[in-house]
Amino acid sequence: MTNQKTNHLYNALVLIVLYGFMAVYFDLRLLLENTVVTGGDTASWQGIAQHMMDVLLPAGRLTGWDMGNFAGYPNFTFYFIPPFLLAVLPAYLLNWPLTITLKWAIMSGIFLYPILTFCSLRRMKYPFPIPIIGTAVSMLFLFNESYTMFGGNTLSTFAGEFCYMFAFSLFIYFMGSLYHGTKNDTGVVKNGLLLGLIGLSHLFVFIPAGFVVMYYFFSSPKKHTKYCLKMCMVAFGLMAFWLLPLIAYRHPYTTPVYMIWQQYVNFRYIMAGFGLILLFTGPRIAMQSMALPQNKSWQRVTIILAGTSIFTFISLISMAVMYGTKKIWYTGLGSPTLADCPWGLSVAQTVKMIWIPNAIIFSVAVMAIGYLIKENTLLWKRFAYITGSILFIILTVLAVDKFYLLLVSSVDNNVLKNTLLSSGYRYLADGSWMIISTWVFFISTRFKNIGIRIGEELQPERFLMFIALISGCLAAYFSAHFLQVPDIRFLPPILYAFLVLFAAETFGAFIAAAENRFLKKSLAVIIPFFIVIIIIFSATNGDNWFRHNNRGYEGSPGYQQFMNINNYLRNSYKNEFSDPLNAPRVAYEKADGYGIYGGDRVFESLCYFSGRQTLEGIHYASSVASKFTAFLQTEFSRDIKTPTSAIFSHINFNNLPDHFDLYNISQIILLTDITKKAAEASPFLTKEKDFGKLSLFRYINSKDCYVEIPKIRPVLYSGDDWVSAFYQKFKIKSSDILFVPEHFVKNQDDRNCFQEPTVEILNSDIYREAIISDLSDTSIKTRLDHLEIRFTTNKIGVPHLIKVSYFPNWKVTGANGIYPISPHFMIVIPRQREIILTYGYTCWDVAGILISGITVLLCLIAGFYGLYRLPFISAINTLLTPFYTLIIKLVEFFKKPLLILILITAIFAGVGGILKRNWPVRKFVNGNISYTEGTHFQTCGNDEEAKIDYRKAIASMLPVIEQRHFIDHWDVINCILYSAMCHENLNQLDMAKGYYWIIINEYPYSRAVSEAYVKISRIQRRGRQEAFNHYFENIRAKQIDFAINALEQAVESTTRSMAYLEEAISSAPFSVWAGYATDEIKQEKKLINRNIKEVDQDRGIDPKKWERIQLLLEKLRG
Amino acid sequence: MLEQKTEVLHRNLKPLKSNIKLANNLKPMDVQYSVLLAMTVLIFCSPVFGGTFKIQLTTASQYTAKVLNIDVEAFNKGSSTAHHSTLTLKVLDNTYTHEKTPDIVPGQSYMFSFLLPQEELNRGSYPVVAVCSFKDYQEYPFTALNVSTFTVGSECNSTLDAQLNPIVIHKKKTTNLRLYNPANTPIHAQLQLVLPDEFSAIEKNIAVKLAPHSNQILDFVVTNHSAFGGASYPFFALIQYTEDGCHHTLVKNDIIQVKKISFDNLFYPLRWYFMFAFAMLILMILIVAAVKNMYKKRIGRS
Repeated sequence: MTNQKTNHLYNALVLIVLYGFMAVYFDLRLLLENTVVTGGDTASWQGIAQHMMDVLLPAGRLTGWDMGNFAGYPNFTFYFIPPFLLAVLPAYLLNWPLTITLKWAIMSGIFLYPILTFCSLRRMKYPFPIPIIGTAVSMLFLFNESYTMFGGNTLSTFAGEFCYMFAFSLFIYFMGSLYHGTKNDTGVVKNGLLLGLIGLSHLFVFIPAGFVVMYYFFSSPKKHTKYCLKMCMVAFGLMAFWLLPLIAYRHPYTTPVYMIWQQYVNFRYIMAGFGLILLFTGPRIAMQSMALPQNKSWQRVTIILAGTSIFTFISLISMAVMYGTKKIWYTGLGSPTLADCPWGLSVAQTVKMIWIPNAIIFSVAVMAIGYLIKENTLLWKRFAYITGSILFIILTVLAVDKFYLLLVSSVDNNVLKNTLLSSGYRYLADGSWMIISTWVFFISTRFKNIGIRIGEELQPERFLMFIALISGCLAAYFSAHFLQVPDIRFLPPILYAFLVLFAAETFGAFIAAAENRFLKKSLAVIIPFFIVIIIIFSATNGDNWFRHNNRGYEGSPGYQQFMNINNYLRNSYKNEFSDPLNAPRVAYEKADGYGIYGGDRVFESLCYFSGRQTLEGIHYASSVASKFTAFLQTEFSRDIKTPTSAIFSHINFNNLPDHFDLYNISQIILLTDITKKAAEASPFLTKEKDFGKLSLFRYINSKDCYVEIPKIRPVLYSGDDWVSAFYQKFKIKSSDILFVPEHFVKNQDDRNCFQEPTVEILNSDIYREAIISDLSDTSIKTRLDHLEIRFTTNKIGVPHLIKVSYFPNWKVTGANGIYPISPHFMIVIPRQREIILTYGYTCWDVAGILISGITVLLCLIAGFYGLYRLPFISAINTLLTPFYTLIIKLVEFFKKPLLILILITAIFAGVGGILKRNWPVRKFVNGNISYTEGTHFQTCGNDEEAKIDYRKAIASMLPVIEQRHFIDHWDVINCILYSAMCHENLNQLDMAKGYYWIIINEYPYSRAVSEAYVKISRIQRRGRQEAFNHYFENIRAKQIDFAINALEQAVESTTRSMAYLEEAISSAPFSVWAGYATDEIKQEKKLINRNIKEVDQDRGIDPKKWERIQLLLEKLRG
Repeated sequence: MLEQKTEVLHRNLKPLKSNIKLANNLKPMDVQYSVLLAMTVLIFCSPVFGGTFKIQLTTASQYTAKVLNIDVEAFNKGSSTAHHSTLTLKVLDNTYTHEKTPDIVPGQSYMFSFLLPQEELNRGSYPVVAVCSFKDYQEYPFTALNVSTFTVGSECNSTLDAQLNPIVIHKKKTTNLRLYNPANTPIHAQLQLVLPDEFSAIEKNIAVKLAPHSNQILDFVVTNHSAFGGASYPFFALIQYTEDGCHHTLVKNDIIQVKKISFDNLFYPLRWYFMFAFAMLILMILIVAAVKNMYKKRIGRS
């Protein structure tokens, strides 16, 4: 057998083994079970896929309207189609169970990952055994369990990020394919389609793919420019049908999910991240520099590498000394302080003083050495060799340490485990490896020579591509603040690039350079085996999550109860409506505790299980209504469970009739005792039935209609940003006065149906007088389908509110137009009896479909026939050739300025992102730390230090309070509360009260309003007991007038304080602070009675004055 | 008539056959590779797929002329054969075991029939507990459970109400049964918790006295002995009492979901064997390399 064939055999064998391992690790039988997949966000995917199969595909659409959640939202207009098509098409065409095809689609990214990694590395022309070793090493990325939401690993996929996983696997192959294509100038259409498919599958993977394309575009050869432009055109063409409407309607019809992981933005984490980049890329840079000793660019990079490495590692070691190794990675409110230094505060303070100068001096010194010796080839090679070797040794020692901990922590015997975990054995293992590696690198000349030889053969192109990917993702990560997207989505490509750089470019390069075939083949088996062992030891959750998900809802202990309530809801209105979709909406409490039914999100799929419409769904970002429904749900939910920490409502059942009427909600599912108690106390709700722990309540005044005539004539709103304005109004004011954005209403007849335009939306009581009269004989009959709303009315020319979310795709017959109306619904003014609203296509849809259609057609012709064999295409091509040439020339001309512009933008966006991101959170964290330190000092009796810290805390949080009107974040409330507490501790009570009043006046709906009342009440009580004491002292001293003054003061404090406590209870009766208020009222009453008893003793006081005292006591009793 | 399901997942372990044949196609000079290959295949591929158990029990019972006729159908809805299936009935403090112990293959069912002579019974309803014990091919035992009732004479209305909650268990879990007596008279009831053999409870039989219009919550500590992580089992609470000459039986059932134990995967328990195999592989490669080196040196000398 030839060597190449044997290599193929080995590759195939190891791949089969890796797949065999995955097939057993993930119990494939469960993928064949006809159960509805659950687990995290995954619990909602079945409903989404079912909608595509039952509604969209039969209507010849890939995107369309889903009535199930958010009072209707555009499904797939802002989400990713191909991964769902993967599930739906086989079910639609072959009649396979969608439950099963969806499970396979969810697993598709995971199963594609190894083979596409292998193919990608082969495409990049890595010699045997690098592709198979790289594939095996990259499995560590797939099975790593260090995160569950970022995407790209098994846990994230099971938590719901399956589109990301699918796109990520395609992206890996795309990198190899692009490398191959640009090298050989082939496959432009294929790569374009692949890029387009990645974009359609997940935009956050498309962005890193864009960085790779940009690298090739800007990396010199002219042919790359042409190649990249053509490829991008194909990709855009494929995506156009989806991309154009997405761009056109992103604002204001979506709700950006600003999810920034604050903990990674601090000096410790940034240094650690930077250290990882240096460790993974440093050895490779050093190798290249050794191989090309006279290359100025590589010299500069190596000198910077050496200097920054010294700075980074001195910084990390210093911080480990200052904060101790236990708390060094704590973040947020638990961030370490110098007091955590295990060697004492003085050592920490000394290190704090000297570490930055030390780090700078050493790094500058090393860089100077590098600069001085760069002309001497021999010395330069030694410099580069030492730099690379040290970084490689540190990396491998860290890896050995991690592996040691992994092995030891899985020992069952606790005595043995604790012994081996003691630092002695651990350092012995690490030290042994360090000695061996130091010997290999610094004593063995053979290894050094191999290093130099490999460096000479290495191609920088692939390495630079990964560097471009890492740099781009880092810039995107820090710029996520401006993009209003989750930043962590850009970390997985960096982790993947690290592993490939190590496996293929550094370690793999040594293996590939080995002349011993036996060694190569042995390592091709040993390393994958070793990786599998690491996975066995470390990946202990993936299979559990897989089983939990794929056993499905049916495997949950509460499944029967869950189905009982769904079946009950399905049949609740069977006499009134033939289709449960037309029955009023069902609301459900958001709370932890749905685990026994399959997960926290089970009721998002209410439409799938019961056919009934509900509120929040999985596609939070895809709907204009998300924040409205989230706010509404907090009015009847114990827990606040939303993707963003906005300021939502307290449990407020008083608001429900107004909002339930507006949203046509007739039933509500409650889980927790507190909301059930609130519902039982509400005169508008009645308990319908219990289903285990779930209780179903009925809104007794439900109108059960999706179309109605508003009682008050709607008002035209002429201000900006109507969605935000309507949301502000929704939170504070009742919903009887509705507003219509003026710029939508062009028709004069329709304009006449509304009240005069205004920008003042919050003070709207003056509009209440314009009542629409004569509604007694109104007759409206409505029929809802996902893509059509049809109603007949006898009130022609009168505004009709349609309680379905507005979106530009809705078209109407029988009226002049559809207009958005507050909160986010639609309104029409019928001009005939029958009105039909149809979910159609906008100009952006049409343009996009045309472009995509032509692109696909041309690609098909190119694939099967050859594009230029068509005479007219050939003629057009000839005609346009000068134009192409001009474009290419122009692009070439602007390439450098464009690159500089992009780099500057990336730097500014990255730095700006670091400074701006999570601003209120950071300000609150800083303020909180100062406040905590202040209380610590105060407890210790050091009042002066405490005051300094309180003032520091106030100063830190003040900017957030000043900017509060522009920030909808819970930390605004935190900042106000903590500032008030600081003022209280500084004895600036009026200032403190002022802050509490801000909460009461500006955030009366929030969960802090009770707390604010209680805190004001406590301030009010300050000095009250002293006033009583003064009274008694003055009575004893026969100074009755002074005594009465003191008593007046005490009575005033008490009555006001009690009034605030009662306000605390009435403003949010089901909050924790209302409970505190109740307790405090009881205590107060006891105290008051004691005082009254004592005061109410006639001590021979002048009767007139005694009468005055009695009046005050009466007031106190009241 | 009640219908209950027991679903248990389990995996089998058996070696994959004859992968070593791959080596036969190699030339003599590639023997070292073939040995490597064979060993790798054997090490990697030892575990293969097992099957799923899903046994559904359906009980039909009839009491006529002092004879109780009970038919229990055991239907295997899973993908693995249930070996040595033994059906045991618990009726009125007596236990009856069916003489047949069939293997029930997937997709097939078996009907266990009993004709049980009984003494004169009071009017009312009585419980029938059917327990089907079976084993996988490795003799690992499992049980399926079903509780139903049979009626003697005319039925009488029971006023007692009860609520049982599902249990998610790992090793031990406290659960409760809520009893409610809406009647105007007190009720003296006997409570029995019926659990699959894989579980036990400290107090399975409790005498309860319920005052008129009162609630009572009874706590039980359920212990998991051998149930597989991830599997679901039905369990039952039987409440029996006699009132006005009529025997009442109230059956409440719910599900015990066994938590997936964190390390309960196929590979993790064998991790040290894999580690050992890895060490052996390295050792073997080193030996082969050393032998090869020696051989080369000898050739060089000669």
